[in-house]
Amino acid sequence: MMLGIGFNFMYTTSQFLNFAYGSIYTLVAYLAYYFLRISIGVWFSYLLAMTIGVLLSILIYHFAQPQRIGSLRSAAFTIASALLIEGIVEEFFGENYYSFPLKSYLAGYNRILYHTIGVPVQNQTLLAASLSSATLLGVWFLLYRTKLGYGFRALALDESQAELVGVNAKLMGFISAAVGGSLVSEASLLLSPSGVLYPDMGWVPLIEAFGVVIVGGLGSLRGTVIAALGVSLVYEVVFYLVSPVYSALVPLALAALTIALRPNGLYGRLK
Amino acid sequence: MKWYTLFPALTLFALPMFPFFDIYSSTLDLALLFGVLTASWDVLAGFTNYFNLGQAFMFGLGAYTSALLSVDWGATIPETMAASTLVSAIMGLLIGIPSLRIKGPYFSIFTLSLPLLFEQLTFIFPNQLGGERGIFGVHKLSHSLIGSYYATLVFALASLLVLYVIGASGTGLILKALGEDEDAVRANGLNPTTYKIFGFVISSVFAGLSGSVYANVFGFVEPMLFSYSVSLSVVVMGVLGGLGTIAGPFYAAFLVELLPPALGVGQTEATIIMTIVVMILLIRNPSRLHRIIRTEKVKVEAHPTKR
Repeated sequence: MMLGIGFNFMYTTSQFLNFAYGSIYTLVAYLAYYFLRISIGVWFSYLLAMTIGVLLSILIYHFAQPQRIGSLRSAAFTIASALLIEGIVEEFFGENYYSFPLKSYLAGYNRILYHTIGVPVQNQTLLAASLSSATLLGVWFLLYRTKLGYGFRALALDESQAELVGVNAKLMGFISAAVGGSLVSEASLLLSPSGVLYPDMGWVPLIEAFGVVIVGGLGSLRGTVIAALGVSLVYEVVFYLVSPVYSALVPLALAALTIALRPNGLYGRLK
Repeated sequence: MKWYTLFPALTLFALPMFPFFDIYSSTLDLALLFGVLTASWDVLAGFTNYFNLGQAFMFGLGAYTSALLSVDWGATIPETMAASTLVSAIMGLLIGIPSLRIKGPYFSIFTLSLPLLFEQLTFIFPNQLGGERGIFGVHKLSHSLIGSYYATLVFALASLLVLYVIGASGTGLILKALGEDEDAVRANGLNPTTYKIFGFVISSVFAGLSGSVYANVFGFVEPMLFSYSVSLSVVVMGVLGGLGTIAGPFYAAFLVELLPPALGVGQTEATIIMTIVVMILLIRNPSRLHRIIRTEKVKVEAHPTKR
């Protein structure tokens, strides 16, 4: 879901489709794994991995600014960089599967929750849920309660008009690249520890995020949040009531349905 | 897009004379099919600027259709190829009608997810679709190396020619106009969606056909055909070869597939080299060497490019 928000954030503010987010997701997970293994401390390694993810996102944006080289070329550039990052990860870590060395306080089930409501919840999941809601609130605050967010929204409405009243579109683009990159890195650090690492792991969350973005509508953050909650609800229902194998198809099926019935998504508005 | 760009492909007929042919013939077959796949991608992407990020979907669909018909029903090779053509054309219509109606990046995002969908389906129905192992024992086109190579080559050149003729025809011109300015096409009384869908169906049919040839040449299909690396490599190779030139993407894909054995490096290293080259080209834009992607509208007006 956060990947979707990060992606849509970039698109809304600077008309920039970044297909490399999936690979940044992979890279950050691998880096965090690597830093943890050479044991330089949990928080420090997470921070370092996240910083690299953000820097990479800014770097890609720097080279692929759609305003400079055209939107198609910039999309092609992000695709090439996605393949490049994936290739580099494969080159250094090989095609083996790795699993995250979880710290003991994150590995087990939460006792308090188990005793009060009787549902076993992994601590990692709990952390992910609470932190992602906090991030969501933070993004909302940034967008609707700060001067920066005012600028973003102005840019999303009309770029040339916004520049006319003194919004620095170039700087805002870089800031939104940083925000997008940090959202993706955070999603990676929160989600990947509960699974295994492999070089093309980033594509599945990216495509699920795309499904969510299509359902919610490109260029609408509110739609993305609502769609993310709705899609994951349907996903879980299918997972438990029908069959786990079909649940992977849910985001795509919903996206296909949305495209057929309401092409711009639930809340989308496309120029 | 010049007609004489097709001629270098004829030299491929001479390749079996070289001593290394026996070792690399399957690589060459694969490179030819990838060339056709990339050229078929170029018909839509290079002309109309609608990037199909799931070209592997049609390739895999054609391959699986042929394999299933051949193994389960014992269909002959022409029958499987006809069936693959039909299936990919119908699928092209089914996907193209909803997703090409709307402007913008929806089409790219939607097509990116299609290969994943089919990959999942092969795991959901392991008995019918072979699961992770794929389907083996497809009726082979030819059992000799040279036979399969020439069969693939003839198919590749024929499709290249057809794609080129479509590109050079009036329809191709309209497709190119769509890439420049959709509203101008509409103003001329033409329906842009119809032409976009036509381009997509043509592109799908040739992708499906090359998939069918893949199944018949190699004798097996596997879910790997649907992987992102196939779809996205097609995009990168198409950009490398020059969008909208048909022959360019074909050569680029052919040569990139031959990189690993030629340089003595693995597939991963080849990908890294290729992507770095493409990224540099995209930033630097040596427009005299290759007009990589049609420059933006303003620039086109400033220096009208010859085509």
